[in-house]
Amino acid sequence: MQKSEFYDILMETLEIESVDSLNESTVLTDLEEYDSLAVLSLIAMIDEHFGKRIPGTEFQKITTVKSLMDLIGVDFE
Amino acid sequence: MRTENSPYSLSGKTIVVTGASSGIGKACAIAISRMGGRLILIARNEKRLKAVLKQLSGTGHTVFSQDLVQFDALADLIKTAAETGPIFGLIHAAGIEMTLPLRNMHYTDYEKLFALNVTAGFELARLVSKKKIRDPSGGSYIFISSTMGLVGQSGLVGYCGSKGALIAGSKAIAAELASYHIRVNCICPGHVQGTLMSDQLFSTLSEDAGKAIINAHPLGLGEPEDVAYACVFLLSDAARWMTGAVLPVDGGYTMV
Repeated sequence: MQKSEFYDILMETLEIESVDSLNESTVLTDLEEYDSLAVLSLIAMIDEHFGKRIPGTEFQKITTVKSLMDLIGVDFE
Repeated sequence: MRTENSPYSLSGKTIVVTGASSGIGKACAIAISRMGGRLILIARNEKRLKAVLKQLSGTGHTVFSQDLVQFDALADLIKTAAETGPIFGLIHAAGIEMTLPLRNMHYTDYEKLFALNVTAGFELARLVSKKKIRDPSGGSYIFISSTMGLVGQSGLVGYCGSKGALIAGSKAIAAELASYHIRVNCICPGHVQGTLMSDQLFSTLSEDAGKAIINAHPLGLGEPEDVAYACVFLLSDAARWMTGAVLPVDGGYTMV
């Protein structure tokens, strides 16, 4: 998957509006939109788009968008 | 009527009403418009919907002729509806009734009842609560359940099940949306006369069974407006501390 496509999906999942507000170094946990429900939305999104079920406990490791991409564990172009 | 300074005013609020072409939905639309609200009306029957539009006070109202169980069409509908401004409220009044004993129920009957009565309502709540669609000031969603969601009655297993599901699901939605100041409540009307559902039900009942329904309501049968006024209250700032509530508006049906 292209990084730009992933950012679009991520922004839709987290209901982030501004297109230029997201890159690899964005700290997800600092976002107003990032809460416990957002984690549930991310788990569902990753399952739908990448076919992986990532346990909620794994999300404790998440800080930046890059760390989320590493957790998903696929190559982004 | 001047309503701007009243806590019951709906001025500046845009509200989606389903099942708006008749019965409780239609009465809600008319009552909301009189309190200054702007309406987005949805129902299947375009002709009746346009007739309701003519009875509304104020301006800026829109109508959409849409079968709500065509779920894939709803996202575009809400997106189009929100082009004229954010959406504050939702009343899911659309619903079907089915009087059939358990032994005659086919599993597809439950699917049909739940699709319109429950799923369509929850799907609309999902769509109107999206960040780009919802009113930043908050919101109020009302699911029209029924006394049949609170008590059981022979021959209504599917209907009772669907109306009970609305109550339970609405509380979960209320919990989820509270942080956006979106309040979510259920109204449980008793038997409201002068609606398509009522006419349909009474046409299938014996005279004695019909009298029994009437007698079970200490204040008699209701009018669509009785439910609409409760909706106006729940939509308004007067109910700003109410969420996850289940309000019987039933002429006393569930108290006896």
